[in-house]
Amino acid sequence: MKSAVLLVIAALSVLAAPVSAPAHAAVGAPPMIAHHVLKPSGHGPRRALVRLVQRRSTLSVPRTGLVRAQDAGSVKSFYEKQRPTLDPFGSAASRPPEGPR
Amino acid sequence: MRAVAYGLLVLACWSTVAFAQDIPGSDDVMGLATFSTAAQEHAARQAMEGAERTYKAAESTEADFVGSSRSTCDDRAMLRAVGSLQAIEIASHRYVEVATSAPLAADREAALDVVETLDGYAIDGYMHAAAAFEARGCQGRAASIYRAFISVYTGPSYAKARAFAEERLRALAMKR
Repeated sequence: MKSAVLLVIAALSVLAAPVSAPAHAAVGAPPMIAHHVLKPSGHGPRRALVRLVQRRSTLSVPRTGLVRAQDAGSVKSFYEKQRPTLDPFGSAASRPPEGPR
Repeated sequence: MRAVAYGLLVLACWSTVAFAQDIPGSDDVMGLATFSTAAQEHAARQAMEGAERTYKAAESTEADFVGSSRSTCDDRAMLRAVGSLQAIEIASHRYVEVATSAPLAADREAALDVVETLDGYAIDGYMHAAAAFEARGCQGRAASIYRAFISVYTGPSYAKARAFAEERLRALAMKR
């Protein structure tokens, strides 16, 4: 009996361990790869620093070996944007409302 | 049965610890690039942390927007949330510059990792905002985001996201 209770608790713990679904999942948006954006490096003299770890959207195309930082041209074309920002509604729409004068 | 139960408990404890803390050496296994100076790494960390904060704030706004029966398509908080994503794009743009101009190859590679991370937040941020507008019946707002994304993000890195936006635009057009 005790083992059965323990088994149920353990099974529930394993099921509960993964991170719960984010709110945007309800609106049909694509999932994303998140978690561990940053991790402590834990090595040598730079122990206090934080080591960078990638987080990539599932909608991103990962760069291949052809897109190397040694080739500025390939980098620029791979990440080409027509403008630095999207601004789909115009800047005025995104600005906070003005307070009383 | 007791052995299975203990095994599951150990697995549960391990997975909780593994998700919550750093596993020594695991970052080395992933082989990700790092910057050559502490100052650069600190700046990159700040940029990524800032992007994460902005993204999460937008995500929370979207959840409120979708969950509220009183929200309208001109919801100021939503418009601000969408506007706030521009800061992530500007940071990404800066790191593309670093990736193409830094004197050390290691710094250029590290900058590319930062670009991919920042772009990830921007892409997901815009797509989730558009999905939130769709969910509240604001098809025009959603279509504006998808159309703007397709016309601005023209590089091969964004092909998958563009295809997703095009698919959503087609779906919106069929609803009309």
